[in-house]
Amino acid sequence: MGENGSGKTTLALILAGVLKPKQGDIIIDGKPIGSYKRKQAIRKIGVLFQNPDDNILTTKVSNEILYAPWIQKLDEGEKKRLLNENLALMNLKGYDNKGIFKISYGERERVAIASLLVSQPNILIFDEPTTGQDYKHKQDFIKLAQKLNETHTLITISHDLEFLSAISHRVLLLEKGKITETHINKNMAQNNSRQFPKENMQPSLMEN
Amino acid sequence: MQNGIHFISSSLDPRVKLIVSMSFLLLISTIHDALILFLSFIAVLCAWLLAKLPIKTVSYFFKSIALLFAFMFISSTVFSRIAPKERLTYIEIIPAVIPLIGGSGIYAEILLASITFSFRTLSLVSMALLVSLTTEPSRMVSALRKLRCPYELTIMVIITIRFIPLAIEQWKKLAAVANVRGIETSGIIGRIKSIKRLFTPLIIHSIRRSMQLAYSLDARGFRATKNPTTMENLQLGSRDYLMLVFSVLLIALSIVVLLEVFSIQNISVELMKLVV
Repeated sequence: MGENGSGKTTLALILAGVLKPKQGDIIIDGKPIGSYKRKQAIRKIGVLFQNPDDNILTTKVSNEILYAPWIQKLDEGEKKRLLNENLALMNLKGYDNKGIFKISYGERERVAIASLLVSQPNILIFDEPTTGQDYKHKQDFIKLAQKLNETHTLITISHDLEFLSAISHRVLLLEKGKITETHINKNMAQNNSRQFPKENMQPSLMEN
Repeated sequence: MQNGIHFISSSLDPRVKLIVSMSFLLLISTIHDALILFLSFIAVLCAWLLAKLPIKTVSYFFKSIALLFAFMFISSTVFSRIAPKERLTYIEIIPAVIPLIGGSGIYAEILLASITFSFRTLSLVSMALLVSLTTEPSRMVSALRKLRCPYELTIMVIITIRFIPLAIEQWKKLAAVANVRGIETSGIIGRIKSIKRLFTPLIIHSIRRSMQLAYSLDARGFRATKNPTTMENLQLGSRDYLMLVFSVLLIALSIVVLLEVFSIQNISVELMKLVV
């Protein structure tokens, strides 16, 4: 977590190999991310961008989810298996023929995650995934993230302490591109006032 | 503004800017001499210096302009043909030593013609860019309305211009998204290949964005009245009158050139004959 403009999204893009770092290297499975071809790199790491609308490249749910397999020219049977598996995982059964702009914000986000999961990456980066979601959808998303966390390494950018406390094992605070604090704390939400600068916290109705 | 494009509030009236650039356009379309067109390009560059735009913006646009120049210059030198009035001067580039294939070369006259053509386009493009970069869209709207352009048309033109940096920004976002879905977007070949994949999503997102724009225009009462008021009332200052005199001079000069009162069209040809 960190202030707006502290470099969180840039860091995420560098980790995913979309941007090239000025110094240093990102090593995944013993090799720098830049040395992988993009088709291989997406099998290692996937990024969910902040606005689900920005994640979209097609107009139909099934096409969107099968975009990476289509690029990789997988055969039809394999594509169908991946589609059904990920639709079930994301609670989107029966959505495959729907228009992507006809479904809700939260559903679009799940489609975007499914479109990353078809490449079977080990690491997932979520950029502010709970922004703009109502309470119920946020709770659903937390459950989903917990489920994904069992099988994947999750790197999440968020200002949402409730979300972070529910899923994170380690929290890094970023300021002007530098990591200034590290916390290994599962229940950070309870004692956050002592540990986190006030300006980084989400205002809460329940505070008083 | 995003993408390193900045509108600086410039002191000249946008109407005057339009008139000066139109008269400049008239002048350079009457001149067919490479040397004078080169000088006119230098004059535009001086105007760029005076505008004091951020270095990042200037370098960004001049890189694109240089690319345009290189493309136009090479293509017109290599591919254009002119009907010879007299014997053309042949400049050999690849000597004819390879059997069957032979050599290759260009004609000095065509080279000169393409230099002329390229500098004319360069001056035009850089002048138009300068005017659009140094004028706020709202001031341009007021100026066009003062020049009796229909209100709807003006807004349309301005929105179109405003849409270009947004489309570039959207393109960058889509390229990042495509990148995490396995499409190579770096390197020249990757970039060219990704154009094919990204073009449709760009259109989809642009249409969606334009629909949102239409809603927000409606919400602000676009076309609710026939004669909406403007944010500011443009008034001509002393500098503006000075520039108007300058544009009258430009127009006068182009008429002089058109009527061939004195010959300035052949300076470069004479110079070239001396060199070659």
